[in-house]
Amino acid sequence: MSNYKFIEHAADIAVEVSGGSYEEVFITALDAFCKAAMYTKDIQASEKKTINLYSEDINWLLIDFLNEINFLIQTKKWFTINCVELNIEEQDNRLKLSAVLLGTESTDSSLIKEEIKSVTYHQLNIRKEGNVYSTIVVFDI
Amino acid sequence: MNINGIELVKIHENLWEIPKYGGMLVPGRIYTSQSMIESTLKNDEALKQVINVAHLPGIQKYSLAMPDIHWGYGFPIGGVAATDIESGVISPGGVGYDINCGVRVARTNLEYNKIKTKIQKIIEDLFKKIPAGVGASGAIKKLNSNEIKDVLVMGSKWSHKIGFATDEDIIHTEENGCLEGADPIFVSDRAIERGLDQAGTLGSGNHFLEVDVVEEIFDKEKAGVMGLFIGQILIMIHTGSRGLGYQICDDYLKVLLRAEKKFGYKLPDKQLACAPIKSLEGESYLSAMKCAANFAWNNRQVIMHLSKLSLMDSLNITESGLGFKLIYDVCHNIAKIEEHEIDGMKKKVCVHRKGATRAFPPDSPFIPHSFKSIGQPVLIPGDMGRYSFIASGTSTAIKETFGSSCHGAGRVQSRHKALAQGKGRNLISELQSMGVSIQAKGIKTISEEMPYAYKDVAEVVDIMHNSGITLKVAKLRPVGVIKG
Repeated sequence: MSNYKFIEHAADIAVEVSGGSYEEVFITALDAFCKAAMYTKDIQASEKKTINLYSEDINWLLIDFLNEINFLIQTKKWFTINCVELNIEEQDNRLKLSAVLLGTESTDSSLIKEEIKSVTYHQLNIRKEGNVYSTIVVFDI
Repeated sequence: MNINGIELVKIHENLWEIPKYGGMLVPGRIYTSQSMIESTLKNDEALKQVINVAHLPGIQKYSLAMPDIHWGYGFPIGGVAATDIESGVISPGGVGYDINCGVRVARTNLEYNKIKTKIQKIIEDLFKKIPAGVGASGAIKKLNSNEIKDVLVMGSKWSHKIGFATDEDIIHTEENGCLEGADPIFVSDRAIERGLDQAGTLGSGNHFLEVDVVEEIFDKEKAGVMGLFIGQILIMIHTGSRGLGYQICDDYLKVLLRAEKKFGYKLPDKQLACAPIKSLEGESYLSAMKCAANFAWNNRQVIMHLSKLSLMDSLNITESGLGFKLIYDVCHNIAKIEEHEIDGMKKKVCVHRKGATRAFPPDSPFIPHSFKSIGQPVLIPGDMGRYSFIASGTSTAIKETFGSSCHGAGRVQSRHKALAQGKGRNLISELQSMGVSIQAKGIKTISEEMPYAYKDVAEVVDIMHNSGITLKVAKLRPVGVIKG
C-alpha cells in the first residue's frame, strides 16, 4: 500500500507519498528523501541510531523527521539509508516519534546527490481517504 | 485578462493589477508583460501567492511582484511586500530559506582579448581554490563557536578584521555588509553547527562564480562611474548563508506557526507563518535573520578574497596589476526596516524582498558616496550561457516598489526536464561552443542549469527598464563558470 512518486516541480523536488498508516507515510517519505538526497546504493550501512521527536501536529512532525535526517547528513556526515523501526504515539497532548535509523558515518561528500536546504510546509497535508493516508512533500534545493 | 480564475487589470504595458477581493488587504501588482503572463504565469501558482501575500496583517499599498516572478514558498519568488512596523507582521516566507542569497560583482584591469587563452586555466584554478558543491567545506579553517558568533554580529567586517576585505569592499556592500541588531542568542546551536565549516563556500544548485566580460554598455556615464569598459573582465559571485540560513528559516517557521495561532491570524498558506514585528517572536526572528544575512555577506567576501588570490596566481600578476575592486554587493532574500512614503507620510516599514533586489536612487543616503550621482548598482544574473546585467536604481522604484527590482531570470523548466533534455549530449562542449568554459562537481548540475532551463533574463530586465524601475547600464557575457 505504501508508495512514492516524484512529481514535476519547476525549481525543487516534489514527491507524492502514501501509506496505510502515519508510520507507513513517514517511512515512505524517508525512502523518497534518501533517494533524492543521496546515492544510497554506494552506502554500506552498519550502524543504528535512535531518534525521538515531539510535535503538536502530524504534518510538522513529518517535517521535523525529514529535517532531522537532513541535519544528520549535512552536519554530522551520518547517512541514513533506512528505518528499521518507527512508532508514533500521543504523549502529554503531543505526538512522539521514536525511530531506529540504519546508516553510517562518512566524510565522503560524493555520497550526497543533492544539497537539500529544507523540507517545506508547501502543499504538505497528510489526509486519509478510505484506508490510505497520503500527502505531497516538497524539498527546497 | 483572466488567468486561472484570477482577474488581471492592465495598468500599462508592463504593469498588471489584481484588484482587492476577499481577505486581501491591498491589491496585487505584477510587473510583467502580456507575453510573459501567457507563456509562464499561467502555468504555476505564483499569482495565487501574490494574492496570499496581500492577506498579511499591516501590508502597505500593494502585494508586489517583479517580472522574474515564479512559484515559491509562501511568497512568490520575485515578491515584495512592506508591512507597517507598528501594526504589521514579519514572515520568514517573505525572505526564504537562503537568507541573504545575493550577488556581488568585482571589476579587474584585465581585458578579455589579452587573456582569453588563459580562461580555462583561470577557471580550473578558481575551482581548486573555492569549495563548491554539496558538502563542500574548507575554504578557511573551520570556525569555532565563538568565531562564528563574531561573524554573525560583524558580517563582512569580520573579513576586514582578518585582512580579507578592504575599506572599499565594506563601503561597496549593501548595509556595509553588516545589519545592526544581529544577536547570536537567537540562533540555535543546530544552525551554528551547520555554519561552522561553510564560511567561504559556494554551495550547489543555482549558486555560481562566473568570469564575465563586459559586452555592451547602455549608459556610458554610469558605466564610467562603476569603472566599466567594453571587453573588461569581471567576477560575479552568487551565493548566500548556506546551511546556517536554511536552519534559521526552518527553526523560525515553527516558532511563527505557533505565533500565528497565538495572535489569531488565519493566513491562506502555512509558509506565510508570521508574527507582529513588535513581538517576542517577530523580534527574535528578525535578529536571527540578521545573523544569517551577516554570515552571507561575509561568505561572499571570503570567496571574493580567495578569487583575487587565485587570479593573481593564475596570471602571475600583482594586486595592483589585477586591480580587483568590488563594484557592489546586493542581497535578494531579506527583510529590512526602511522608511518609505505612504499616503504622503514617511513611515517605517519592514520591506520583505524575496527574490528581489534593493534599487535605491541617486542621492539616497543609503548608497555609497561614489554612486550618489547615478543610483545604486543593481546586479541581475542570467543563465550561464547567455548574459547578465548591471542596472541602476531610480526614484520611480522608491515611489512604486519600495525601492525594489528584479533579481534574475527564473527557471522555465524543471530540473527533471532539463536533465532529460541533456541526456546523451556533450553539454561541456556545447557550452564551450558558446564561448563558456565550465568547471563543476558533476555533470548533473551542469545539465540542470543549462541555459534552456531558464527564462531569457533580457526580457525581465527590459520590463524593469521600460517601467523606469531600474535602468540598464551594461550587459555582461559569461566566459567561465564554476558550479557546485
